[in-house]
Amino acid sequence: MFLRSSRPSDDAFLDEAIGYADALNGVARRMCRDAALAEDLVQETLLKAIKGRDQFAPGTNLRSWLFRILTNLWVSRYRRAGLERATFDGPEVDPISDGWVSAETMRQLRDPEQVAISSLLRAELERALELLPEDFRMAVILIDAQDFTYEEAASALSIPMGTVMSRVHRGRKMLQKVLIEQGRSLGITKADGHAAGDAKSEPPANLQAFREKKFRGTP
Amino acid sequence: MTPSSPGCRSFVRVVESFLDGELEPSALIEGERHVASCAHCRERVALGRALKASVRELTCAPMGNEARSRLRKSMEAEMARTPSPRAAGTSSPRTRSAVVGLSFGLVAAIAAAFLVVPHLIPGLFAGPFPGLLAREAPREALAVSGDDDDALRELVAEHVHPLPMDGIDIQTVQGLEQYIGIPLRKHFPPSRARLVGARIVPVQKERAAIVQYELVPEGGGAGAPRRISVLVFDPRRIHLPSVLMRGDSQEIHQVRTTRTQGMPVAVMEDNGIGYALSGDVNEAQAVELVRYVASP
Ligand SMILES: [Zn+2]
Repeated sequence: MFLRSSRPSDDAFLDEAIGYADALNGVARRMCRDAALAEDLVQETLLKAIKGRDQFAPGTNLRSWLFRILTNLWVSRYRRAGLERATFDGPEVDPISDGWVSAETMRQLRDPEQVAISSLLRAELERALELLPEDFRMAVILIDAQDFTYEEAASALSIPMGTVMSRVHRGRKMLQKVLIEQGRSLGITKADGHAAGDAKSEPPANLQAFREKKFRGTP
Repeated sequence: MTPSSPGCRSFVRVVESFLDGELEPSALIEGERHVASCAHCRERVALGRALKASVRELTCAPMGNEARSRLRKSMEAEMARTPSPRAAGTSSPRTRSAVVGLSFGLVAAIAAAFLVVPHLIPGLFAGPFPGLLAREAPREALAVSGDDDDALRELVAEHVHPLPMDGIDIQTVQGLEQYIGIPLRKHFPPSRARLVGARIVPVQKERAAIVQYELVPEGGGAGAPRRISVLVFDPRRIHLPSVLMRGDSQEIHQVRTTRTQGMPVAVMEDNGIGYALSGDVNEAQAVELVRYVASP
């Protein structure tokens, strides 16, 4: 009972787990928006993994398991730790409608040199990502930044796969709308007639609504 | 091809699965064929890829060396503090999963005591940790529960700031049953409360549902409708012992009540299903409403 023996596989487990620290930290940073808090979240995640290491079935997906711990911790603890909870309620924002955007506009939003959004819009993208409702943000980040499959993300977030897909879809649509709007206001994209008409008839991505929510604070 | 051609319309429906590598091979080939022939969808795909790449870049936050070595030290310390039971050979899997299931401070100590003498404290729990003792820990699942207050805080938080629902009518709500393993068919009559929707939430290490209703005002009163939220859970898997142990909780007609973040919470178990109800109501109403939704 008082043995302190550490099997080699314990060390291997630790090494493998800490190998995901950067990935966990990247996601934690996007969720917490605070470097110190993100590190706490990563540390707590990995300590929980160590504590519960016997529950991990070797040969299964350690990354997915770690992210599941992280998201559970985030949901149950950190999200409540005085951080605002950007929510998205009501039909005021409908990002699902797929407004027609010209190929030219889409091209202008990209960086011509590399696979990336135009460097002129990256700060806006970062801000838009921060202001996404956190459930959407988490889904987009796991799929886009961590290359999770829909199935892995469903397991990490404890939600049905269809819900993952709809959150990713809606999250991306919101990001795209912000890019299109900002691209127009910064003069990066030309307002082609058709798309401009669409923009009038459609509700905007409503960054302002998110901002208002953001500053409304927690209950 | 024009952007509104049938080929484009069907590609747009799958463009995200296409980008995420989630298409079946035959659909993938079809998609690639369309992209090759359609300049507009080529731009769609290029923009989608650019967006993914930029999100990835924005999410990249490597830890510094100092932080990483701090992290390693505390992991090693934790490793030493909690020797692997498999290696030490002192703990049966059953006890282990039960202890880890509630492994936080006082709760852990109490749980450990109960594991030894569950029958000595009758009536405090519906059973002696029925779920924890009977169930094998699922693969990929880890007890990440803090305490059961997390469950009630989640309920109240969902109530105050509801997130988008996963189901919004009786049918889609019922469709969520498969994820929580218990029925979601009992609702209030339309004269009493309108179903707003339901959402799957992670509670402790399990899934539960939070179902939301709008109360129908008595006498057709005006103003914003009052809402209630009901956490529907499997009491064999999700435990709310502190509701029962907290000094300020009390029992009224088999319903336990407490307050979480200033909100009244009424908890009842019936027929193997747990219900925790909170909302824009007083304690007596919460008790009455949870009894209603929990009773057959
Ligand atoms: Zn096309």
